[in-house]
Amino acid sequence: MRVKLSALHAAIDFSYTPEELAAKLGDVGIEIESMERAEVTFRDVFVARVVHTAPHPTYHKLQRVDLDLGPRGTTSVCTAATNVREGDIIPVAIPGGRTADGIDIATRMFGPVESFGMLCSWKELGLDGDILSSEEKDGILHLGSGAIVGSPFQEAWPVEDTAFEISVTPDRGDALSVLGLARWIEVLKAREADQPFDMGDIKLPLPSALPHARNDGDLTVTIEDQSLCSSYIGLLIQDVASGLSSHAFRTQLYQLCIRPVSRIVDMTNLCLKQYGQPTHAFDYDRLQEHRIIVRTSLPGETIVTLDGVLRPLEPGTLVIADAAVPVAVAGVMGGLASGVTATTARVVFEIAHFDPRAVARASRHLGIKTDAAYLYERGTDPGLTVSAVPGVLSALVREQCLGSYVSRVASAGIPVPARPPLSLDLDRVNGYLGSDLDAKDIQRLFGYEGIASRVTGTTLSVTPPSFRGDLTSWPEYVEEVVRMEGYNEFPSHAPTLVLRRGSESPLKTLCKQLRQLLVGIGLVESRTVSFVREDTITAMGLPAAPLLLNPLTVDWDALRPTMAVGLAGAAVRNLSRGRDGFASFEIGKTFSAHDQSFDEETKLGVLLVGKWQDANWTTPAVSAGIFVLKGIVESVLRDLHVPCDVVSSNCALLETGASALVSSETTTLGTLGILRHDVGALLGLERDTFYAELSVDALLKNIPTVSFKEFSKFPSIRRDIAVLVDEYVAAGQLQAIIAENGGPLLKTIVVFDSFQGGSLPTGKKSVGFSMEFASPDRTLLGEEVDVLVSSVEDALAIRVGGILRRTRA
Amino acid sequence: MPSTIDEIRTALEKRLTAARDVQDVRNAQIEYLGKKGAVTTLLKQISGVAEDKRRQFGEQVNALKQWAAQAVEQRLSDLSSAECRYDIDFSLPGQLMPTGKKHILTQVEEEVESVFLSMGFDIEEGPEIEQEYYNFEALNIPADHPARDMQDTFYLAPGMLLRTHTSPIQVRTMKREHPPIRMIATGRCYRRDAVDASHTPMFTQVEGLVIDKGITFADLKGVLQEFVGGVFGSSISVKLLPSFFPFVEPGAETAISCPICGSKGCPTCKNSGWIEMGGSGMVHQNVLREVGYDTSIYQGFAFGWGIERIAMIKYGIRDIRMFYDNDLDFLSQF
Repeated sequence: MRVKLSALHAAIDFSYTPEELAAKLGDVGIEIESMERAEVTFRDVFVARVVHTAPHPTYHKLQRVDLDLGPRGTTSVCTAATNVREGDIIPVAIPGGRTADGIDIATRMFGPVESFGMLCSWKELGLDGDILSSEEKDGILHLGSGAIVGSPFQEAWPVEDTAFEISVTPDRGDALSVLGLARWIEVLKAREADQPFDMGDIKLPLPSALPHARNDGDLTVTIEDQSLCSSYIGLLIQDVASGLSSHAFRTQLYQLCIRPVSRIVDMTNLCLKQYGQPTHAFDYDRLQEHRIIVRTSLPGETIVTLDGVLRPLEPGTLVIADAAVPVAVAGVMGGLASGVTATTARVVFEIAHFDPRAVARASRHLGIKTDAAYLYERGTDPGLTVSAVPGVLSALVREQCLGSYVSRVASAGIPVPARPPLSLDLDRVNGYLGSDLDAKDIQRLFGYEGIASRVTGTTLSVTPPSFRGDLTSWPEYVEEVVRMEGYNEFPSHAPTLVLRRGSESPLKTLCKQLRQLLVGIGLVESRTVSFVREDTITAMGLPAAPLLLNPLTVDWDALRPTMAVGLAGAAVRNLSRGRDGFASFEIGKTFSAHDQSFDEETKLGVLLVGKWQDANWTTPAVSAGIFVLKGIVESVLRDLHVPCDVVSSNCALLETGASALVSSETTTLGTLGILRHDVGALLGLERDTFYAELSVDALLKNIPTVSFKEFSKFPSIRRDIAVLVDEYVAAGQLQAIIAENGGPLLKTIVVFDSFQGGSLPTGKKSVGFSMEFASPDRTLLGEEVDVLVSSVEDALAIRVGGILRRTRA
Repeated sequence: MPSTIDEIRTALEKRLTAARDVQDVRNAQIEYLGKKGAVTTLLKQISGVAEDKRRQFGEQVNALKQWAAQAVEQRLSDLSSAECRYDIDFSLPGQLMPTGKKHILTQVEEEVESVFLSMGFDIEEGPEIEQEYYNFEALNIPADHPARDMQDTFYLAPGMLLRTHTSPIQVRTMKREHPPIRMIATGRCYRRDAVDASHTPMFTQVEGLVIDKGITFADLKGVLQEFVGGVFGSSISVKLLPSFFPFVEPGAETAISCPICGSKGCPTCKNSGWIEMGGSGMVHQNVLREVGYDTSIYQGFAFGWGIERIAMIKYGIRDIRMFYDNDLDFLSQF
């Protein structure tokens, strides 16, 4: 909400600077988001009346304007403005003066005519264009009748002011008006002076009665459900006349930051902004049978709202109806058919109190957000304002000569019953806050806010003022105790808690371990958004991902089923910035949809592209490759003591022949391989990309407990062999044969070499293995190891026709 | 400068022993055997010595010269044999080992978690796709409550949404366990906010909850102070301001003294010396009742802060989007 300091000063006396006010309101929970100071930046601008206008003798685009400056005499200026007529009240900058946009004013000749100044528009006066009407921004600014001719412009228009942008929490609906803010300023003053809250300090008119009404109109109001509308007052105005608002009214709107629309709308806006009471104007003659019925909508009912949209009403929506049809959605928006037009002769103003939930429901269901609905949802005052605003409106009508006068008031609804007092136990309050207040302290604190209380022993009986709809249960009163005592004045201490260790889930621990291992290997962790584009997922050939019903953009309309999209995006970003490699991982949730249910799985994605290790003057660069990726996966699993198999298999997202399944015993952990080139291209990666994705959830189920194993304290013996086999024989198969035949003393088998071509026969490859033999209880003899190696060699020859190429000791 | 044969011999011996490098020895060589050196000077003096002693003096001086030349050579040889074993150019760069990095948000998250683990808090988790009930109703945010506007929500199906905060984890934990409860939860949350320097539709939250007999508002302040001390350092203080969150009453906004300017006033704290970090308060009676706790026995507090916000304030990061760009120039800084 935007409001100016002058509007607050008009409502209550206070001597805080704008900065002090912002800090003090902030301390009670009303945030001043921003503050903007407007200064008088022009000089020698006065209010003038146009006495005479005449065309310029030579310049046909100019006219000569004679001005009356009251006690300052007369003058004349030449102007190109077209909206200046005899009798207009306008601002003029005289020679020696200066405009807000920095133009120095001097006497100037326009052909034979001398011009003694310049007529001003809003821009030359530095006014706030956001709260001026389009007419006011078109050409020279017109001041309404009532501006004193000859006075300095800053006396006629509230230029010098501070505008506040105020933001309140949903429970602070009572602060969404000048009256509400004035009440909180009164609370601040009361607290500082240690005096009870006094509504009498509020200077805004709060009439409790209406002027005498001439009883020649006819309007009936019926409320069908009192729980949805506690009171409804219809104010009938007749002989409505069009015309400009008075100057005083206009400047008041400027202080309230209300942009003028029309006199009727301006009045309703004033009630909303100044009193926090939404009002609505109906065309009386368009209400069937001159009846107003507050009821809920019936099946099949519709309404064309003021914005011209035909809207079906959900049955049960709170509406205002005439004898035939709904004419407004209560508290949200009026209907077009019953709206005020240029030809309206009689107006009914609505002043009512609606149930916040009913308004909220209608506003949400219809998707209409209005200032009125915003206020009603947050709770308006069912007491004071409903009774005072009709008097305020009728006075405005009279002042502004809008209509003849108030001719009839129809009201319905019983007076709002005072809320029953609530009982507050002192021990409960202190036990909740960790404080040591006595009943008198609390009574005093409540007194600052106008909360009535009676003390009986250690119990307080409390009654809130009608505008504090947020006070309904004891913790809310406890909050008021803290608010008045000062949130920051309250004691702070460490709780007395039972000694207990904190724990985290095994999944969380595993994720931490994985991050630590991968970072140790040299990968950078990415965090990418969980959103993906559905089209991308479909094009990647993956099953449907969970879709958002209300995505922010089409690029983010689904939830990621894989980490590949995000990691590829991070890679593209880094490569496009001139890096020649990217090696990263991400751990997080992936999502899948099954009919109407959704699943989440924690996954690890690893992506390598381009250079894996930079070149150095000692070593050449190492490119990312499939065996770098496989090595990363194997190293991580080895460090977690998880046995793993990587078996060639066609997997989603990966190139055929360069795709493998990673599993541990009978559990599938994930996949690794070369990202399909079409998928890479789709994601913006034009080069070979190596990608692995493992399920952390699955991995968690396969983490073994670690226990000590006896290791050999005796030297081991190493034997290398190289076997020539057909090229299609997998290294893994050879390794399995070696493991099977090496006996229990064979401790490790390492592939140290694998090559084809060169001097080798076509269709053959050579694979070199290094075998390490050790015994836990003795030093092995070379001869016994030779026997074992022989049996390995024999097995290789028999099983795969392997020819021994060389043996190294 | 020594002048007699014995003096010269002693001095040169000392000088050579003290020499630490070749240059030093060469300097000594010049000082003693150079054109104006001490030994050379003596050699020149030979012709001036009385004839009866000239021969003996000449022999002694020549012996000195021979000895000196040999001693210098010896010392040079000793030094160079020691020096030449290595000749490393240390201006060449070392071979840098590949080092990875945890994401800055992970680092902050782990730091926050370790502070709370050390205070005996459990770390709880929950689903990111959440039921409307856990995200809203159970937290005292009924349908049609204006508070729902505070958290514009992504929906996947009627009643199913992306959690807008980590608070549903509170509800799930309370429904599963009996007090005392002392937990935090960290995780991704989603709100339908357009992307700008301070908003992303996805962010990370840390949520805390303590429920037991006699837990007070003063305890909330005490625990937040410990938390802030653990993450930002013990010189940073906590201030509470009135605020509203439907699931707490009294509700408070938590501010910390600005670590960037030391509370002197800077653009980050809008010259106020304080930075708002997140919400907190005493858990609302309706929330406790909803999970079946006896509100006449149990009470407690909750708080929820943004991990991104903590990281931004701690490291002076101005644009929240950077966290999800994964630019190595950014990630490698922390």
